[in-house]
Amino acid sequence: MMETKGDLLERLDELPSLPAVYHRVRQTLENPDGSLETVAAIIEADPALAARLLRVANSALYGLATKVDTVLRALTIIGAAETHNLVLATTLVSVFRDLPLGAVSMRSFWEHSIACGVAARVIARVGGRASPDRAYLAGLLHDIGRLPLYILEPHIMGAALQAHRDRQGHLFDLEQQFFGSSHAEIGAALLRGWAIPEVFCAAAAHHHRPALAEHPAPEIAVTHVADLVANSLRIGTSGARWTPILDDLAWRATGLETAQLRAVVETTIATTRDVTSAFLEH
Amino acid sequence: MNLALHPRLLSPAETTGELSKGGAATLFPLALDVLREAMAQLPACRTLTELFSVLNACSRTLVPTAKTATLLRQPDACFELVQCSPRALEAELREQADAMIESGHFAQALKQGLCYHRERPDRASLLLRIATPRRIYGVALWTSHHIPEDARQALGALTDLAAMSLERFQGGAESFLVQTHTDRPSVGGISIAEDVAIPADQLTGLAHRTHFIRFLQRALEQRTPSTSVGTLLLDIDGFHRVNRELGCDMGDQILRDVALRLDSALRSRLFFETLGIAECDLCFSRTGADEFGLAIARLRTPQHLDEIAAHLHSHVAEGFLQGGSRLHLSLSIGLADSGQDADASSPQALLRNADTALKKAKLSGRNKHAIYTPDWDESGSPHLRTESLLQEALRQDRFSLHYQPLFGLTDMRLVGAEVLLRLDMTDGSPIPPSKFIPVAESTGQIAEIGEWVTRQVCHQIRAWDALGYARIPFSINVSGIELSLPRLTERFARILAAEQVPHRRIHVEITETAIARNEKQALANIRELREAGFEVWIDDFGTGYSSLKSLKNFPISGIKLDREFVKDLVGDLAAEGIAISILEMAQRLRYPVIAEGIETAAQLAFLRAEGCASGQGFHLGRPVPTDDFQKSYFAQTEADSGQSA
Repeated sequence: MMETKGDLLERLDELPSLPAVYHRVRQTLENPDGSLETVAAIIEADPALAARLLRVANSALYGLATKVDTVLRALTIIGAAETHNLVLATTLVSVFRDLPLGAVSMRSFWEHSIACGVAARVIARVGGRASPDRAYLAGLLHDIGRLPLYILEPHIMGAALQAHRDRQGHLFDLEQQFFGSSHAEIGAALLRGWAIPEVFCAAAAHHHRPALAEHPAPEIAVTHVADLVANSLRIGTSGARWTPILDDLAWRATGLETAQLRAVVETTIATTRDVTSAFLEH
Repeated sequence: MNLALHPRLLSPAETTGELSKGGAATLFPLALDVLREAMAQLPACRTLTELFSVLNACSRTLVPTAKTATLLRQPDACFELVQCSPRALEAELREQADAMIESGHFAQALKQGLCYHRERPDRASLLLRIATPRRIYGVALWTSHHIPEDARQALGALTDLAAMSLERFQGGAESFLVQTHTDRPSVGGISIAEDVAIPADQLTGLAHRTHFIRFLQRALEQRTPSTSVGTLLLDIDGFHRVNRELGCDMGDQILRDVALRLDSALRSRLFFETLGIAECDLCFSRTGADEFGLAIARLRTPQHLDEIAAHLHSHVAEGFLQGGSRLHLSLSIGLADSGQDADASSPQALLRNADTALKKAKLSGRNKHAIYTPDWDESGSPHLRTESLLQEALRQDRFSLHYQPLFGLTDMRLVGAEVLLRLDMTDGSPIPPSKFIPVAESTGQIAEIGEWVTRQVCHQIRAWDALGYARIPFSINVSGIELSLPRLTERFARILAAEQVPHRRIHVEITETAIARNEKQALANIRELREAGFEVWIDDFGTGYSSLKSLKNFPISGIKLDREFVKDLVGDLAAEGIAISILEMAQRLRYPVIAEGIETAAQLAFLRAEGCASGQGFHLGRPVPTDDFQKSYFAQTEADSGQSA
């Protein structure tokens, strides 16, 4: 079993990697001489990416007052930090959008991820403890570790899913049984391999067991709660059919009041549909 | 849902102290969350096991330290322990339940709805009646050092929700008969071996057809003037091929994947919102070997049926991961709406309509859907019968091959044979190819049939080669559909490689009409075939779409002179003129010619005299089954070669 885990970690590079355009954008953003103009030029060199990015920028996610029709204008409005997240999200979804999985469609997977990202953003904004931008990306990436499980070990994952379907346990626990690891651990390793900022790796690693995080961050707690919201709303799925159990401390760490939950849920539902179509529709 | 306020929710706290105990302020909102969760999940439960796992998960959130047990009323009015948590404590909990029956607490719970009782300073027990206003289903037990008042209220509501689910499961039966395990020592705790609720399909975990029909029945009965019932039948295109080529284990795995994937896609809030339905209005079931059924109750907007089909298509579009590569599967979907009135008032009628629509969808090609409309009722049915007959024939290997010999006209040596496909009805009467080939072409089944033929011929070639017979080539007819699809050569090459048959042993016959279907692709296919070493002959030459153009542009091996120009030969000047011209032209272009339909000795003599290289026809040899061919022609060749040696 542990071999499966070690084997999986070694084989992560068999997955598609992030496109060069993401790395170029990131370098430019980290370069003190870099400008949003340069970033926009890099993005516009890839018309498909530019079009997709504009759709996402104009979606309910950012709630821009007016429709923007140039990449530079979009980037200027949302700012440099969010530019990184937007480019990462857009390139990542594009890379993985059309790959075949098994018992879950890639569409369902991204619907769940996007719903979780949207919920995380709303929770962060309402709760006031985490950065909405970071919470959003953490939510979007939280289950990314499921992709290697589906793609690299379809048979083992199929068996785990069947056990889950037969109600033998939460999928997260069954992954431990079948792989000696979990999508949380694998996901964090994958993100670290891509050199994604640590806060997102930590959120992926601990979104099921936020109490075990060495350095608790509000984004981890928010991702945990957002995952529950997305699961219980059942917008898409990454495989799990049950809602995870709430960690009380994480709930408190979000700063959310129970009375605000209804608004969070409603905004999540309303926003997710639009954002999903911005990311996924042709 | 009518949730009458249950008296027990109003029962006073056991002691006044408990009300003010800490934690209540945060617990109560949590209880609401748990209940909301339960309300979302319980309607989706199909079995007792599922129901209890939801209840246990909810109860663990509310009272993490509690041990729980559920007792259901049996037909003999006894209560049987059907689940407990943790499982290891089954004996202890059973004992405790017995003690509470003895002490009268159990009776109190049955009578009043609940009984909270502190047996020891360190142990309190809560008994809740699982009942709807109509019927008592059982009793649930929680035991812990302390169960706060708020949690008790929430558990009461949870138990009421569970009772409603049980009522839904039971569908009129008096009580649940649960297999008891009292006779044998408990190994690994209680298992609900025979889950009595909704029968689930072992392979996919979806509901069975019987449940699907019951669901439809109930949904039809509950129609209102503004709602109807939608039914979809989904069929995986060409699934029998998956089974045949990848094996049944792989086929099962893919069936499971498809089922889970579609089930997840259907149980999504965005989907419910589009349709304006709730989760309990939906029943997704495995209705046949590779067929799924979806029933939608309380459908207000049947015009959304199109969107449902598109939604389902979009979730399988990316394909499935299979041995490291992508396997594309498509769905054909037939949809039918019950209407608000008595149009289709039985599940059977609705299913029949959906099935007709499904067949229609299949006819229009793969990956399509069709919505049933009453006006196309009977028109398509003979066609449809042929289609399902073809499906059956493929599954049961009911096709057979006949062989017609080809002879060199100068020396009358056997130079080849044309392979002809035959299909018999179950009663033995033959169906002419002119009837079933067009159907097979329109449904796409022609490709599978074509593969079957090729494989079969290869088997036969190997068998005859092993017997040492003359290594003649065999001509296989390829339809226009096949010729207009890419990868034709690849298909032949793959099968021949697997059967270890050299390419020169297979000749491909195509008609000009087939070429005209998609000239560009046809040309590419013919080129590829020739490059791979297959001979390609133009069949029925002269009657087709643009005879001379095909001669000029296509890299063919030779032409087969249509019977039309042979049948009137000798005597009819026009026929003679045309035959002679075609033969001359072919000679000039260096194309060999095979004359078809030679029925008389005079025709044979004429064609031989005009330099036609080879021919076939009733006069030379009719198409015959395999064994007869071997007896009549190979035995003959053998004898000939024996004589000449």
